[in-house]
This record gives sequence, C-alpha cells and structure tokens, in this order.
Amino acid sequence: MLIEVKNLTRKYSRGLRHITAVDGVSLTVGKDEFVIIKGESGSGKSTLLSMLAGLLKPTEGSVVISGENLYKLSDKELSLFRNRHIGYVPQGHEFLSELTVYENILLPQRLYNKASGDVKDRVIEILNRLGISELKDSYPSELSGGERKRSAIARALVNAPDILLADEPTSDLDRKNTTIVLDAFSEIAKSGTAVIMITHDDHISSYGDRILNMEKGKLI
Amino acid sequence: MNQNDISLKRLSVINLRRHPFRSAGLIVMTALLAFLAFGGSILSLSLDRGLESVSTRLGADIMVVPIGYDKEAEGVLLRGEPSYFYFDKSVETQLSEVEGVDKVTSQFFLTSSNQDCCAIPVQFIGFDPDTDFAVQPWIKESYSGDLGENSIIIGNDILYDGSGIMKFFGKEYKVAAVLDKTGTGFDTDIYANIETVKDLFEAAKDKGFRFTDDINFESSVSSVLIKISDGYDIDTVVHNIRMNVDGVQIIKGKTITSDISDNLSGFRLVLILLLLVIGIFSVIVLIMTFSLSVNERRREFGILRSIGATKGMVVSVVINEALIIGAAGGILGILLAATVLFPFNTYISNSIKLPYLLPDGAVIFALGLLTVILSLIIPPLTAAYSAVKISRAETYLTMRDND
Repeated sequence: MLIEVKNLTRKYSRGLRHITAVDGVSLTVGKDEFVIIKGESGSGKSTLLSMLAGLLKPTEGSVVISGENLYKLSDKELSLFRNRHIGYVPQGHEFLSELTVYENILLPQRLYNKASGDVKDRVIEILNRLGISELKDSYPSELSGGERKRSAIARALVNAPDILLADEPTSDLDRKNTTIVLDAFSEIAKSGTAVIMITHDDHISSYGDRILNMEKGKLI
Repeated sequence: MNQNDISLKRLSVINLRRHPFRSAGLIVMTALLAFLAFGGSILSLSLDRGLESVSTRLGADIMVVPIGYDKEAEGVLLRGEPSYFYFDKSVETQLSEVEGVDKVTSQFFLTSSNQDCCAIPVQFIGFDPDTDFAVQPWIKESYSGDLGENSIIIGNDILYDGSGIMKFFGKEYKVAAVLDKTGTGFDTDIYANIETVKDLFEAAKDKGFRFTDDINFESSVSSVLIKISDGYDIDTVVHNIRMNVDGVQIIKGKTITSDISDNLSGFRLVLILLLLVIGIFSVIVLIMTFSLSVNERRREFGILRSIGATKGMVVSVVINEALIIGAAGGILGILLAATVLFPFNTYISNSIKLPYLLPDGAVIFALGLLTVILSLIIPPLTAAYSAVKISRAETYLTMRDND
C-alpha cells in the first residue's frame, strides 16, 4: 500500500471546549487510486487531509507513506519528503500573490534544486496538460476560480509526487470547471499518482475509485 | 524578469518591494543607528586625538603669559585664534630662578594680516633654538635640519601653494616643512626661530602695522614655557611662581587638557544617551514592524511550508529581509555620516571649539566595518523572534488563521 493511516486522531482545545476533529481514522490507499472523502463542513475532513500531508501533527496515530512514518521524521526530513512525494492543493488563497503562475509552480522545485531546462519543460508540459499554458505569465489575482485551481494542481504536480492531496478543490467552481478539475484528477491517478480529495459536494459521485464519507471525525 | 530566478532570497526582496514605505522606514531607522554609531565614534575619537595632540604639542608643564591673557593663550593653543601679547623678557630670568623650575624657554607671538597669504590671519610663534624644549622635539618629526634664518615651518591648515616660498609683510620666507595635522590651534601656526620672527616683526613695522608700535622686540616675550624639576609637583611650583613673580598668569598644561577632557566627558555622555535612546526606540520599532509583517504573511509562510519549505527556510526568508534592511541602512548611515564628517571636518572643528583630529584611515575603515557588522546583526536579531515563532507554528493552523 502507498498510504497506511492507523488510528489517526486530532484533538483541539478551544477555551474549556475539547474537540475531537478526527477520531481514530484508519485508511489505506493504493498507488493509482483516486479516493474522494465526502463530508459536511466541520466533519474533520480538512484536518484529516492536512495530517496526511504532514502539515498537522496528530494527537494519536500514524501516517505511513511509501514506508515513511511521517511524524517520526525530523522537520528537515518531513519537509523534504513533502516536497518530493506529496502534492498538496490547499483550499483558497493557494499562491504567493507577487509571483506569476509560472514562478509559483516552479517554487517547490527551486526549494531544493536549481532550475534546469528539464524542469522548465516539465512546467510547460503540466500547464499544457491542464490547459492553462497561456496563463503562465499571469499573476494569481488575474485568474478565475477554475484557473486558480488548475494552477494550484500544476504546482502540486511539479515534483512528480507519489500522492496528490486536494482540499475542497471544487468548492467554488461552476459545473464546467468542476468537471475539468475532476477529469484532471482521474488522469493524474491513471498516470500513477494516488489522489485523495475531500469535498462537501454530493454531485460528484461519478468520479473516484472510492468514495468515503466522513462524519464527526470518523470515516463511515 | 528572468523566470528561472525565483528563489527564497527573491521572496525577501519581493516583500520589501511590496511595502516600499515600510521598507524605507526600516532602512532609515537602521541608517540613523549606523549614522550615530559611526559618526559618534569618529567624532569622539577625533576629539580624543585632538586632546592628545594638545598634550603632546604643548610640551611644557607650565605656561606663563601676561596677566589677563590666559584665555587668549588657550585660544592660540586650542583653536588657532591668532593673538599677540607681551611682557618683559626679564620674567624669563625670574622664572628660571624659582624653586622647582628645571627649564624655561620663551616664545614670541606675532599675527599676520590676511593680505599676504591667507584667507584668515595666521599666528607666528618664534622660539629660541638655544633654550627651546617644547617646539623642536616634534618639529623634528617633519624637519630634521636646523631651522635657519628666514625659514619657517607651517601648520597643516595654512594655505600653501607648495612653491617653497611664502610672503609676509612684503618679504619672502622659505618654507622648510609642513607639519602633520594635529587638529588643534597648532595647525594654523607658523613656527620660526626668534631671529626670523624678529625679521617678520621689523617687516610688519616697516609696513606700518600699528600693533608693533609700542613693543621693543629685544626686551619682550609673549610666553614662557616651564619644565619642572624632578621631585616637584606642578602645584608646588605654581605656588612658588606666585610667591616670587608678579604680573603673570599661570596656565598649567594639565589644566588645559583636563578642562577639555571634562567637556569631552559631557559630550560623550550626551552621545551615549542619544545612541541608547534612539537605539532602544529603533529596536522596538524594528521588532514591532517585523512582527506585524510576519503576522500579515502567515498564509504565505503556510504555503511555503506546504510545498516543502523547512522551518529554517521560513526563518531565512524573514532574516534575509532584515539583512537587506541592515545592509542598506548600515551603508546609508555610514555614507551620511561620512558626508557630514569628512568634508566639513574643519567646520566641525571650528564650531565645537575643541581640538579635533580625525583618526587614521585604517581606524575609520575598521569603524565603518564594525558599523556595517552591527547593522547586519541588529535587524536580524529583532526579526528573529517573529521568524522563529511563525516557523514553529503548525502549518495547517497557520494557513487557516487568515480565513
């Protein structure tokens, strides 16, 4: 299995209130799989996804991706692992606003490497694949919602990750753009990158190899 | 723009450009600190060196001048204010007989008009080569030969065309040497042996200068310099002089320098207080501004972390900004201080009415370097807390903070 999640739990304290956002979730995802996790707002799906991305330390449990237990790694190791193996598409405000689309997409590659001609070609190839090559010199503020999402997916793919995690990628998109994004995810999964996306949209059941439902922090 | 140039360092530059007024404010704040640190150190060292020069050049333990002329004498020594005053040469003999006096030598002061050489009148100091112990030792640093008749040695601030000749009261005199700068009144003095000064005196008389009318050169001197004998202290000798010689004003060498030293201590205290107040204020402003800037960009740092940036990389983005501000502010502050201090060196010296001698180039360079290093340390230190705090925050929570 590419991803093995065991008893993943995240608790928060807000004043005197104790909240269990994710409650003992266990999950396995294989290579090439496109998994959709559905749930209402507040069900804990974004918290689960961020723990899968190594962005939020769980209170309990473990996340193992490609044999690496994420939360046993040092910050440097985890950061490098995230950079090399995990593509993350955040919900809203995905970009550094002062950089062009091209620069934003190139940035994950430049954190650990110098840009080469190969990388440049790869960025162009990804932009073409997602149908946004004409946007490469635009700034994020000049993009529509659909264009922003596709650009964020392009950035997540630039280092050819093993897994793509997308947080509500269709939440503010119209039907046409939703279809474009979901088609792209299906293609990405077929090409060997596991995709896990979360959504509260009930109308996307025709996509995904597996659809899981999340409620009150648990997968049901 | 070269799109392959994207890097964390460029993110720092981009953020500074994004807030030009804030960045400029931080640079000005750092420049002010550097200006004060560099300018203040140079000023303080220049005054110290000036004071040291006075002490070295005076060369005597006690200076005796006509009664009521102590301020004029100090003006000649410290500030190069030309003056002339005379008393009877017999005082020199009387002083030589006072208990505790080891050596005496007299000097004759004369001032020029500005018509012959200089934009301002200059001071002639004539010394007796046979008895002098105060002037010749340091003149030898610039001129090793015997200063013959009609030869002069000029102070560093005297305007001189390098021709080897200067003209005073219609007569030409040979310039034997130009003295090194001292930052004191000695820089506007012209030294000659007593025979040459007598020649100048006669020339002035021939030209009709009235100040020489009632003075008999042979029987007059302007000051007597005294070296005390071993085993005596200055106060005892001063007391002995007061008891035995009338009509003279006694100036203790150390009193001149200690008065200046007192003034310098006060000046230095003001400088340190100013530096402290502005330093503390600047540090507070820098801390607050960096904290504000980092908080505004929590999501940006969250995005960086989400694409694989380490905590260290996030810290480096903020620290790089602080380094750029420090470098720009430090260099700007040093340039401003240099622009004020070096071209207006003489003006400052005249304004503060204290001996003032710039440190050597190597010392100035070292101070500049030290100021740049400080400027490169202080802003990053003020940014460090905010930078480390944001780097340690949970990335997911950071990214949601601005929602």
